[in-house]
Amino acid sequence: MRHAPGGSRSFGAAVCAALLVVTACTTDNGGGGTEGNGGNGGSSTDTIRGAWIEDPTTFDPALTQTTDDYRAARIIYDTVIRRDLDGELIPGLADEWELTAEGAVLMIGEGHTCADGTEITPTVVAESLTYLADPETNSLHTTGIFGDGEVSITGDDDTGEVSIELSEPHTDLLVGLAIPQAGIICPAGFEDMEGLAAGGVEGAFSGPYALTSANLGVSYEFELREDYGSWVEYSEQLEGTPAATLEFVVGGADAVANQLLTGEIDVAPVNTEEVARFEDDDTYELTVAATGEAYVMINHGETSPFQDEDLRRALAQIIDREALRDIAYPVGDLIATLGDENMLCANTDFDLLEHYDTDAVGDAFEGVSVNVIGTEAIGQNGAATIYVQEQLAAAGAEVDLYNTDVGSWVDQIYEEPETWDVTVYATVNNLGSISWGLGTVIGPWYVEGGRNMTYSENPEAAEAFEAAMSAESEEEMCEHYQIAQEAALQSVDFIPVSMVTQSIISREGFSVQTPGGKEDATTLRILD
Amino acid sequence: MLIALARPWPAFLLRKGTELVLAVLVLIVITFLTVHLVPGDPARVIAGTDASLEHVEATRERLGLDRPVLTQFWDYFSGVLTLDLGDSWRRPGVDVNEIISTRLPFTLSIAIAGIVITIVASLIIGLSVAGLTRGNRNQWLDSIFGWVTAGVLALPVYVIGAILVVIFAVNMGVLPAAGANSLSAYILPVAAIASGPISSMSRLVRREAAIVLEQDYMRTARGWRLSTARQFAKHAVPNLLSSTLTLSGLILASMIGGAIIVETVFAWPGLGRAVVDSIIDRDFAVTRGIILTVGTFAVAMNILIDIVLALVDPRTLRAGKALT
Repeated sequence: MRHAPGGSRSFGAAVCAALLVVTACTTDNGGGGTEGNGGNGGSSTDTIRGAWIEDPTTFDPALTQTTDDYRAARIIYDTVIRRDLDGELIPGLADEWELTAEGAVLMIGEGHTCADGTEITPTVVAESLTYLADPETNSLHTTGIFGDGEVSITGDDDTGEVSIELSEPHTDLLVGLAIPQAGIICPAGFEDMEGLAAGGVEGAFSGPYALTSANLGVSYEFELREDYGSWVEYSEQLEGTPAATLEFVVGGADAVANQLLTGEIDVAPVNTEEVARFEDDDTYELTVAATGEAYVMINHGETSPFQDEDLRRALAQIIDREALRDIAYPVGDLIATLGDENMLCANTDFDLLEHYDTDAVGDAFEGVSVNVIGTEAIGQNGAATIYVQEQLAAAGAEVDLYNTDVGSWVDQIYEEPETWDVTVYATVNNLGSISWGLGTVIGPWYVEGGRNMTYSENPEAAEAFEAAMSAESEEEMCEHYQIAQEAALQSVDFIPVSMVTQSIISREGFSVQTPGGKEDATTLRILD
Repeated sequence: MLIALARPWPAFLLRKGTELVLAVLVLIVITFLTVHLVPGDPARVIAGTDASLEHVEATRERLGLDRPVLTQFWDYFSGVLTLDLGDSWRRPGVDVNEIISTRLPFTLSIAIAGIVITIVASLIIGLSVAGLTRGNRNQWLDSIFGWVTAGVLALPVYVIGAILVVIFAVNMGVLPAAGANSLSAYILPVAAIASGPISSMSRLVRREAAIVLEQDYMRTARGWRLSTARQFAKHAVPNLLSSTLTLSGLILASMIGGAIIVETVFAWPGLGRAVVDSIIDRDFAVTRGIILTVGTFAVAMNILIDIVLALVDPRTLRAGKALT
C-alpha cells in the first residue's frame, strides 16, 4: 500500500515544473512596456505608463467633472492659453491676447491643426468656446471661466482674432481659458457629440495625443500625433522626449505605489502616506502639484457659536496651523490666504493671521457646544478634523465630531448648515486663481446663488472682492483682492492652513512638470 | 425509480422558482431604497463639490430624483423587468448593463478560477492529510495542518493580498502587483481569494475523508490491493462530493461578493471595485445594478446547488428540502 513516495516525487516534480513555467511566463511583470522591477526604463522605451484613479466620465472637455477627466482633457485638447512652469500665462493656440473692459481678444496662431488635419482657425476656436459658454451645455466650468453674465464669442479668420464679450466683467477669464476644461474641440467633435463624450472622434482632438484605446476599468492608451507641431514653449525647455505612447492603467490609489515599486508603471500620483516608501530611494523623484487650498471653514450662521467674532479669533488661536498642515497635507506650503505666493494677488503677509496661542484663549470655550464635521479624505482617516476636535475639547468646549465620506460631508455643508459649526475644507481650485477659494468664504451666499458656504457677512471684504472681479488692470485687481483678504482675515472669517497637494512619483528615466502647480501629462518626458 | 422521482420534482422546482422570484423582488426593493437611505444628496455629489445650486437642481432633474418616490420606484421596477437598468448617473450615455457586462467577466474569471483551485487543492490536501493521518498515524502532520489552516482562516483576505503583493511583486518581482493587463496578473488575486476557502474546505474534506476511509467499502478496496489513487478516485471522492459541492456553491457565491476587497487590493477591474467606486461617487444606478446582479447570481447558485444535490441524492427531494 505504501506506494506514496514514487507518486509524491512525480507530484512534486509536476508542481516545480508548473511553478517554473509560471515564473518564466511572468517576469515581464505584466506591464508589457519598459523594464521590470525597478530597472531604468527611460531611454529603452517610447512608452510612459501612468495611473488614473478611475475611468474618465467623459472626453468632452466642457462636461468634465473629475480629476481623471481633466487629466485626459489636457492630453487630447489644447487650450488657447497655457501656464508656464512658474504659473505665468503663456501662448497656447493663441499667440497673443488682450484683456479688455468687455472681455478679451485672442490672436490665434497659424499652423495649429486638429488630429484630422483641419486647421484650427479663429472660427473653430470661437465655435468651441461658444459651446463651453452656452448655458444649454450645462458645463460645471462656465461660471468660473466666463463669470455670471452673458457671453458672446466671435471668430474672424481674416484678422485671426477671437473676441470674447462678457456682459459682466470677469478678471478670471484668461486663467480660465488656460485650464484643460476649456480645451478646444475641433469641428468633427460637434458632428458626433456622443462619440465626442466617449472619446471616439479622433478628429475632435486638438492636443498632442489621440485616444487610441479605452478599456473600461483597465487602461487607456494615447498615441502621439505624428503631425502635431503645437508644443508649448515654456520658459525653460523640458528635458527629454515626449512618449510616442501614453498608457494609463486604472487602479485604486492604494495599488499605485506598489506598481511604481515593481516597475509596472513609470509616473503616477500616490497617496500622501505612501510617499515615505520612496523617500530613501534616489531612483524615484517626487513632484508636488497643487490642487487647491486647505483651510478651517467656519460657519457664521445663526445657529453657530462662531457668529461671534471673538470666538472665531479664539478658534484661530487654538489651531496650530503648522501641525494641522502636517496632518492634512504634509508637503503643502503654509498659506496666508486661499492661495500661495505663486498665485496672482495672493496675500503673503502671515502677520495678518491670528497666531497660535492657547493661553490667550482663557475660558472662551467654557460651556460652548461645537459641532465639528469632516471627511476621512482630509488627513488619514479624517485626522484633520479630529485635530480640531481635540483642540476645542482641550480648550473646554463640548465637541461633537462627525467624520464621514466626502459625499455626505459636502452635502451636509451645503444642505444642512444648521448641523455644523466648523470643518476643515479643501477647495478644488481648477482655475488656480485667488478668487476661487475666496469665493467660498466671501461674498454672496450659496443659497442666494453665490458660492459662499460660510454665511459670513463682511461688507468690506465682499465689496472689495466684487471690485476685484471687475477690475480693468492687474494692479487694480490685486489692490482690491488685498483689501478683501485683509478684511476677511482680520475678522477671522476663515483660517488658512496650506496648499492641497498631490504627490507625483516618477521612476528614474522619466519626468513630469507641474505648470502653474497643476499636473499636466503633456509635460511627461522620457529622459535620455 | 423514474416514476418515484417524477412527482416530487415539479413541486420542488416550483418551490425553488418561487424562492428565486421572492428573493429578486426583495433585492429590487432593497436596491431601490439604497438611494434614499444612504446619507448625502446624490445630485450634489454627482454635480460636483463646487457646483452651483442651479447646477445641482439640473442634475437632480436629469436623474429623476425630483419625482415622487413611487414614480421613481415604478420606473426602476419596470426597467428591471425589461432588463433595462438605465444609464449610469455619473457617466450619462453609458448603459449600466454595459458596465456590468464589461466588469462581470473579470470578477467571474477570478471567482471561477478561485473555486476550481479551491476544489482541486482542497481535495488533494484534505485527502492527503486524511490518508497520512489515518489510524492516529503522523499526528504531527494533523497538528500542522490544523494550525496552518486555522491561521490562514484567521487572516482577512486583504492582509493575505497585501502579504502576497509584498512577497511576489515588490520583493521577488515575479508577478504584477495590480491591474489586469496580463495573464500573470490573475495569479495573486486568485491566490488571495482562494486561500481562505482552501483552508476551510480542506478541513471539511479531511474530516469527511477520515470517516469515509474507515468505512467497510474502503477496507474492502484496500483488501483488493487497489492503488491509493484508485481507492481515493473511485471510492472516497464520490462520497465526499455532496458536502464539497454544497460548500463550493456557497463559496463561489461568497467569492463574488467578497471580490470587493480583493479587487480593491489588486486594482482589479471587476464588479467589486465598480460597486465601491459607484457608492463613493453616489452613482446609484450602477450600485443597484451590480447588487441586483450579484444578489440574483447568489440566489440562483444556491438553487442550482439544491437541484444538483437533489439529482445526486434524491432523498433530499423526498425530505422536501435540499441540504442547503
